[in-house]
Amino acid sequence: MGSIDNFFKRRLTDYREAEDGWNIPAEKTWENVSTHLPTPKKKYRWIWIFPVIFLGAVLIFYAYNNYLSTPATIAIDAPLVSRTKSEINPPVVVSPKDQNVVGMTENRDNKAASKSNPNLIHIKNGDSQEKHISKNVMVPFHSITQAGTQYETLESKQSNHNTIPKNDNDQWINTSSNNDRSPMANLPQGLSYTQKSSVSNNSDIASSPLIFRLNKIPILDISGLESRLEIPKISTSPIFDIPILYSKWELGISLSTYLGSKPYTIFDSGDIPDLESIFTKSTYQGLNLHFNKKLNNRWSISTGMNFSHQKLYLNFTQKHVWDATNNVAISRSSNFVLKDNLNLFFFDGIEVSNGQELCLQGELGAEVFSLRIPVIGSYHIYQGKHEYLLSFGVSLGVDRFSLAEGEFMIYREQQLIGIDLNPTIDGGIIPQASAYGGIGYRYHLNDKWKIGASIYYDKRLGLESYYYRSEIGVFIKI
Amino acid sequence: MADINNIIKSCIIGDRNAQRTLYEMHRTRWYMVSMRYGKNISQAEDILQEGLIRIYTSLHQYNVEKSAFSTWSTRLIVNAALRYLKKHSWQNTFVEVYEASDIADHHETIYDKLAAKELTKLVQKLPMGYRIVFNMYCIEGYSHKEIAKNLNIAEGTSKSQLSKARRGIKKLIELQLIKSSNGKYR
Repeated sequence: MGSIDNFFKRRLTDYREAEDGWNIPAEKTWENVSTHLPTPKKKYRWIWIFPVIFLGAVLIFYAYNNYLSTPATIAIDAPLVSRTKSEINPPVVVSPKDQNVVGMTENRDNKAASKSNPNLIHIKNGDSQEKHISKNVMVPFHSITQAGTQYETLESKQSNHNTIPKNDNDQWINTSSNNDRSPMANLPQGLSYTQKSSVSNNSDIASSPLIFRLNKIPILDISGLESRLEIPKISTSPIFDIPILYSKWELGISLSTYLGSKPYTIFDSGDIPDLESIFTKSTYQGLNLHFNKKLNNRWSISTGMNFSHQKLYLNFTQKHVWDATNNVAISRSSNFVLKDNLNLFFFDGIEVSNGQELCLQGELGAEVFSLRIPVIGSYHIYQGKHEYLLSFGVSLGVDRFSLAEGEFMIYREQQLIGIDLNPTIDGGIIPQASAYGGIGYRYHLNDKWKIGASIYYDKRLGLESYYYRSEIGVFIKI
Repeated sequence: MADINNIIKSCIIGDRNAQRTLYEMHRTRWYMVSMRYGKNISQAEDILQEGLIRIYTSLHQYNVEKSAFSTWSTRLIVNAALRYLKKHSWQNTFVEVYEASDIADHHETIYDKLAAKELTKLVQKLPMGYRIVFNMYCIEGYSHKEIAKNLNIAEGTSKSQLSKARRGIKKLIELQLIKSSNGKYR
């Protein structure tokens, strides 16, 4: 090493600060650098709190919904029917003038008119032209049809509506041994009756040998439910996870449950209030398979399959009109609901008011099995081993609805005429769709595995019902 | 003075005060190294910033038993300088700019008239290739083998560049002396 090398080394390795400060960097240099330096660990402690609280809340709700709570029973306050012992077999008094009257109102403003003169038929067309038809025009219930927005009535020679037996119970008892002569012989499809001994401890009910077996209950007709009730059939569990940073694919499995839902109290307050249904509780368990693809460091798209089982508990009361002549029970409004348009599920276009009142009242537990295929887009924020995500998506799938447990009380003109302790129904498979959005958290255990939880707002398309759903799961990066 | 190891540990967990203390302890060294590799103050500050970030984010890798912190951190600054220069103007670096000239070695007493500030400016005036090899070999103490490996050049090239850098620096010194003394030493 030459002298010049030594000279430079000696001079330029003297790192004392010069008096004129020429070898001291500007303050802005440190300011620029300090923003890129590691932050205090204390902040990470606070970051931990939120995921821990989040996971704890999800677990508590999950345990509460599935293990700790029992279905609540909500009594229907309004005594649409009386259940007292003395009312079980009183004589039926039917006023002839009350028979054979059809009230048709599209607009509830006509309610007053209908009440003031119940012997009129009101027909209101799309052009608001209103006609009044005198009571001597006989119109059978089942002959009312609907064409577009205009309602037509077909005149009929039906005139035996007044011939309802004074004591229906007696007659029906007798006809139990001679079904051909019974007015129940031509019950609507799916409606039959059998004798049951299981209610023998109730002397009043036991004295009535007729116990209805409702194989197809109008209120639980799927199409009717679809149009009139906000039954939470959907059990979508969207895919909402994506691979970790630098991992393009991810598989996962998760469990889900409901945290809460919109309280359901459905009351059809049309011209003739005929439906009150209160959902008292809903439980939900879901198993979800996830398949995620990362588009970039922020966005991902995912799909998968969601299987779920949901139980619904509801108290309900539904009134029908009993057409004894034709032996049919007619829903006073739901028969005329435009079922193709779900937005009209409280449509009270035509309501039938004549005939005896047939009332179904009971508590039911229903089951919904669902299979869904979701498509979800997610936005991810990574912070160390923590991952936060915001997701939106839709799902398509099918539901299978069925009654699992329950009890019907059947009243006619406020008299108990039957009980069905174990109504059963298989609603078949119906298509469903939903949309949802939510937030989630993931913790990366290592380069391969991560765990996490999410909360979703789940909205069924076409109906007003919605749910808050949680998921906890484990995911593997591939 | 606080124990450097404790300061480093505090820096690792994000203690702002410790990070600032460490910076103030070594800023002059780091800055002077940056200035020798940069062509001007602007480049020196860029090199220093990149080097500082690398130092603070790599503190957990520092092993007190292997080397002194000053040595370890200076090496990171040099590496940051090499990355910076490679990224910005690596091309045509190792070309001959100065033709060999017969400049006689001056006595160190003549050099003594030059302060570190002037010497640093002289080094900055060297072409980039010369400057890098000169700094790495003469100041930082790298061997030609290490220089060749770091710069991805042949060892002979490193030696050649150093030789030319020495001649260049002598010429620059001479010019500086002539300029400062109005030809007194000519």
